[in-house]
Amino acid sequence: MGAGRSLLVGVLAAIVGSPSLVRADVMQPTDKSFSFDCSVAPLVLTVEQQEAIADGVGRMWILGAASAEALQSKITVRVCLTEDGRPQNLILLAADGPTEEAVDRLFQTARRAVLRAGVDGGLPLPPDNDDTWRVLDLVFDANGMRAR
Amino acid sequence: MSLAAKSLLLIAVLGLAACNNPDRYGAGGAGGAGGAGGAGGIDTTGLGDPNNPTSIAYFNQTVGDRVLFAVDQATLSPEGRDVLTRQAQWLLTNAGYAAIIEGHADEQGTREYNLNLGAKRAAAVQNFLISQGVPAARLRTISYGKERPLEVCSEEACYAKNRRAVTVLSAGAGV
Amino acid sequence: MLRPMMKSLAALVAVTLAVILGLATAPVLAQEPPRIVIGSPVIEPMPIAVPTFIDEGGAGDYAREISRVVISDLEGTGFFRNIGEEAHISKVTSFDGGVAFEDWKAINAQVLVTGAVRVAGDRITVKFRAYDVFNGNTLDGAALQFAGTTDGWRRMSHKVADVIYSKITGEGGYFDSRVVFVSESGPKNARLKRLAVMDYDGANVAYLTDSNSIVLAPRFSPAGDQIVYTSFETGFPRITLMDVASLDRRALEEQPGTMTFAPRFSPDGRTVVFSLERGGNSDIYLLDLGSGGLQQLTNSPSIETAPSFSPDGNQIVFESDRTGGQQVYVMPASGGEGTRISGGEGRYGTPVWSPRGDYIAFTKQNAGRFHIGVMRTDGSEERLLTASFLDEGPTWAPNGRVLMFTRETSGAGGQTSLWSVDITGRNLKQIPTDGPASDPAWSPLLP
Repeated sequence: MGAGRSLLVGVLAAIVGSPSLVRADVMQPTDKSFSFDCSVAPLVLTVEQQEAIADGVGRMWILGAASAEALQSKITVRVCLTEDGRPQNLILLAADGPTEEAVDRLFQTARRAVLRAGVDGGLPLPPDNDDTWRVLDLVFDANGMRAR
Repeated sequence: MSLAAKSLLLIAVLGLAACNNPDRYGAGGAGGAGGAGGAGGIDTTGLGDPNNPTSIAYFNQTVGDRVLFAVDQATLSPEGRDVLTRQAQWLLTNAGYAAIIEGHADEQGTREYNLNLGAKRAAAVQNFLISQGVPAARLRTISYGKERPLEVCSEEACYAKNRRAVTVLSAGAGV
Repeated sequence: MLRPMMKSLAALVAVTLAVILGLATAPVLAQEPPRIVIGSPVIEPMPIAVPTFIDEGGAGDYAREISRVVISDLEGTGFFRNIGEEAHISKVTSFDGGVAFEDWKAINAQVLVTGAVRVAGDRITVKFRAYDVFNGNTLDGAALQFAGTTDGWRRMSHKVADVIYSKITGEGGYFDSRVVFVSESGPKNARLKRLAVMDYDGANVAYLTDSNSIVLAPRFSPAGDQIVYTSFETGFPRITLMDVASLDRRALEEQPGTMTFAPRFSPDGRTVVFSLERGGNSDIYLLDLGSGGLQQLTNSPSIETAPSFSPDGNQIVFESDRTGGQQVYVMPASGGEGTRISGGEGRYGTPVWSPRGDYIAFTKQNAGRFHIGVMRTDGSEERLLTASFLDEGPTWAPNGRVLMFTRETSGAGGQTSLWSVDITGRNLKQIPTDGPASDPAWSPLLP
């Protein structure tokens, strides 16, 4: 893990200020649930595997308490997972919504969904021989959902 | 107090109420409590003999005190104009009476719109009577919107009777 | 369960940078990770746990009753489902003690609310804390204390629930509010009406007038201390102003031969916009409550009524039948022709501008049915939320998320009742009232 850690620090220095990164993770400094360790190698998934993840997280994505403005928002989060599919870290990559607060509320629903999916047996990931962390980008489009 | 005196007192009270407050329906529901007559429950005791052509009862029953309207309309029908022509003749003959014209709507409509619709119906009647020579000073209007239906069913048979303008007489011109 | 992880140096650096710079920090990858669009979300209430508040001395029934009102408020939104205490694994015995998050995760409580109540004499103190269970921390800003007299316990409960609701959903609160309405009795053809106020949930009813004259469509002032309504007290329909504290009232505009109705305050509370009818034609007027000055805003030979200000005070939405049937128009607050915004089939009336400014609620009549609906202020995105024999007269909750309205049943025994619905169309429910009730109008959030 030591190498990964130092690599990440280097990476951080490189990406600070990147315009594609919208805003800060809402993780708090006191938060003990997360680590920033994450693989540099993304997963390769079949369409079926992607659909299984989409359904697995969607079942945990509760929008019943979302604000009207959150329901007009769309976000992309990057999730780092252990090899058994348990989420270890998640950050907001991109956001589109009427207000920052709306985006933040939607991010909270997405974070709870990912964490719950992790509690309930983990995300359905394929077996992996690399023994690395896995990375996924998940798109939560509340606006698209409402339109359906 | 004799029975006759009581009757006189009752008439006087009713007359006073009519002068000061056209809302026959408001006071604790008293107007509705008498409720035998279709005209909103004024006891016919005070209205004179229906066979006497100068009585309120004669106006209500023989001349015809009301006109009906089509859905969401305030335009007078030919039948309505006939009734109002007779009303105008009666009012011109019986110059001692003033009238308050009540406009009503059926329940198919929002409250404030129907209040205005009732006002339009009352105004249509008022304008027709004035056009027939009845002095404007003897006529006033009030709208109840959908607040005081005559018939309570939720079918066209009832709605048709509720879309009405009623000419309510009171003694004393220039009210 | 999540594997407990030691926070690494890298994480500390990352968080620190993120906080300082306000920027996200993602690892750069040699190759983009899979991008997965999440499937259908669950539109179901969020499971929460609200164990009975702790009695920290003298609280007696208050602790249980306050917990009950908080749960009732939260569940009443349709956003939350309270997990009953029988399912709880751990008990909260001390307000400041630690929370066993794993026990609350295990029953899938997403938010945990703990509270404590202390009563001394007629003074009551209520404190509470709401935890994000899966994050393992207190929701930002959701740890507060309210103090007051015991007779205000319901309002304190509503305030607790308002904070929790607001912190979780991002919407403003609305539980600590009142509703003025018309209480009805008697048969359909001789119905008695009187003004009444109640808490938003139907509790604490107080009557403001007797039943001696017809009263219609009361509305609160922006400060909640006055009510304007239409009264037949003078014999003719007149807009009337009432002071809520003293119940003093006066007819506002008395021009013989006219009828005034459909009053509503401007957002600054200094003027009242209403309809004045003369000879069957009504137009919209603005009355300055201070000077008594009257300004005519519309001039059209048709029914112009049901005016409602935009929250910024710059525009007025109203209904007009100038093209035949009722339609909804928007004009500048200074008056004018107005621009029609309603466009669908049927008739549109009783428009009310949302306190958030984003939607206009209305009553729609089409094909023999009545609907409560909302549309954008330009008329787009029309959404019908209800359908019945007769729904009418929506009023907005202070947060612009919930509507209350009148529903009337058909036939000789037809009765009115008050209902509320979320602007998504979910959570339609009847508001409990002692008897028939109509014409609700929501107050602003109480101070």
